[in-house]
Amino acid sequence: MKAVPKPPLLLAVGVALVLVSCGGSGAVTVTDVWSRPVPPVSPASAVFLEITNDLDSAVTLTGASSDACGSMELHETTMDDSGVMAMQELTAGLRLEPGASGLLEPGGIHLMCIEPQVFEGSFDVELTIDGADSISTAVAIEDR
Amino acid sequence: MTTKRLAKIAIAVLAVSVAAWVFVIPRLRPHVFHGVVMQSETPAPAIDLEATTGGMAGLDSFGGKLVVVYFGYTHCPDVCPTTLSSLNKALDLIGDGADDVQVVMVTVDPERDTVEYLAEYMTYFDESFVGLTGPIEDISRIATAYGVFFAADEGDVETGYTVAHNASLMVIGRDGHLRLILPPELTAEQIADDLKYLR
Repeated sequence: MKAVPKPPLLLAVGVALVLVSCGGSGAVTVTDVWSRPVPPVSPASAVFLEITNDLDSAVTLTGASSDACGSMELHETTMDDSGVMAMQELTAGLRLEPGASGLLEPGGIHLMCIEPQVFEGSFDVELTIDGADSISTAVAIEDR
Repeated sequence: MTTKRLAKIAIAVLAVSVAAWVFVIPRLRPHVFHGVVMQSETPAPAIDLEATTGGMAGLDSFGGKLVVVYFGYTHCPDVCPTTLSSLNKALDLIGDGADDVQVVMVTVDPERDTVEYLAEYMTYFDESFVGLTGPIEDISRIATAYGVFFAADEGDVETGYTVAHNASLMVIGRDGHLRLILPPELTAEQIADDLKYLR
């Protein structure tokens, strides 16, 4: 059997150094990406997720896009003292300091899917993040 | 008395005690409501709106059921689907007794929520759910009578708009009186717990 040549140690160290410099000490990650099922006549749905910034610098989730939505906007639902729920677009985005996590959840911040096209199963979404690469992930449509 | 007989008696006493603890004592405890209890001497404000089941409907149109009234709208992406999904889950938890509960949503966006549109939207969450709509003046009057505020933000049908609204659930008893207000943060389990007691 022909022996596979091992890469020179210096080259391996060099590659590792390049990776660290590009990625900082971590990455921006998203988990638990889901959307509540809505009727096919529904003109809007909401996408929820958890996003964590393990980079050394702050990042801002500014929005998202998906072939399964006419458009997407970052919104926040708020409730005042009298129980009135209102919704505003977060035009400045959701800023995450290094090490911070942000939870997009029902009754809070969410990505609004305007004119949804997919109503069961899952669909793909691309998150736009200022200060980091965009992230593509699947959205599970689940009735939680 | 033999030891064997004493042991049998002890086991029987223990079994009766356990059964009482599990099945009887919980029923003797007073129900602690998750929602806000209302004790109004006057009947709940009348509702007379066009129903997704056809024709006009009011609180007395549902065969003496407990009526859960929600003020919402179909273009609402977050709170309304969450609330209607919770109500569907609550009815599942109630089980057979769910037939004694009627969920209705009064739209706060009658301009976009036509009867046909509302019907498709409501029955998606549960076949029994009924939507009500009508002139904005009538809906405003009814909402105000229930202490429910709503207001559309800037925009029109073309540009789109959202509607701020109170998302509490109003529970009307079989006697036609407002019995309970369920705040929006309650879980399906908590809603079911209160409705089960009232139905």
